[in-house]
Amino acid sequence: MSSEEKHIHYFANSIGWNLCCKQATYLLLKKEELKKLSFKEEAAMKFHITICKFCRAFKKHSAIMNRMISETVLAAETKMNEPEKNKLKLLINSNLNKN
Amino acid sequence: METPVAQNNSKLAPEKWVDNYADYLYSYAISRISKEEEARDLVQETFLSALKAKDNFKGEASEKTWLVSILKRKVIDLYRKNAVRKETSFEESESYKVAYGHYFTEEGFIPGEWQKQTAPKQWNGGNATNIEQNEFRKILAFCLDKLPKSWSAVFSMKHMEEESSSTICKELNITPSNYWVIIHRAKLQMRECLEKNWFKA
Repeated sequence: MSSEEKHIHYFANSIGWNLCCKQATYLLLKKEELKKLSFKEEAAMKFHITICKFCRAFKKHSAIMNRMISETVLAAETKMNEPEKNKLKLLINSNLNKN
Repeated sequence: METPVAQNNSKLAPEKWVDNYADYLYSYAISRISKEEEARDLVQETFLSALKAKDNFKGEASEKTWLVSILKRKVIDLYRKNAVRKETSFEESESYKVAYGHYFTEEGFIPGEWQKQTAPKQWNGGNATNIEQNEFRKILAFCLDKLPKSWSAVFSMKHMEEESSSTICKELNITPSNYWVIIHRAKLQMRECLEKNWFKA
């Protein structure tokens, strides 16, 4: 945090409006999922993220992670190998014949 | 040659399940569990459960959707089992738990600001192409494995199963405030791990 940012931070703190990075990132993740926070929480979180470059980076990274993880899960295409498939077929057939 | 379908249910064809769905179900499982053996077991258990329950199949969903819903249930059960197991090896799980203090200062001018060493850095490569996706999946699994089991269960249910917080709290038996703390800490740890192993500038 630059000394200028520290001054803004200190000022915002003195009027009860700023959060620390720990609180701001916590609220950011809550907002990601719930879409809304209380008015005061949301205003304070947004204000903090505007002035803090690390939290801005965290917000960006969080969005990249969310997107890449769900894309990776959706795109998974892994074939099961043939011997395993044959074992499964035998298992299914023997269970079918039991009934 | 057409195989005759199961007698008491005209919509299910178990003798074709492996050919039609094994790859799909296996992909589904491996993308969420990432351990080949566990994924294979889940697919097998899915087919066996489906056979047992085949008389209950009402044909409201397609055969594939029905099988996926059985597998999904098994994946969640496995997350839950893993999450609970941490209590028997508490110390091991504690050692995976990176303290808040690793990320945020606990004293100083403004307590709770980012620590210099772990503050977010510039990332490279925020877009994995299809070729890289398998590599990314491996790194993701590696990072998930370094979380305490209960955290990785919460993280996976949220980001891979895309379940809501209320479902996750119910399934894993955790309180909402505990849930948000886990989401926060797991994200911090995953972000740091992915930064070091994937997004390194």
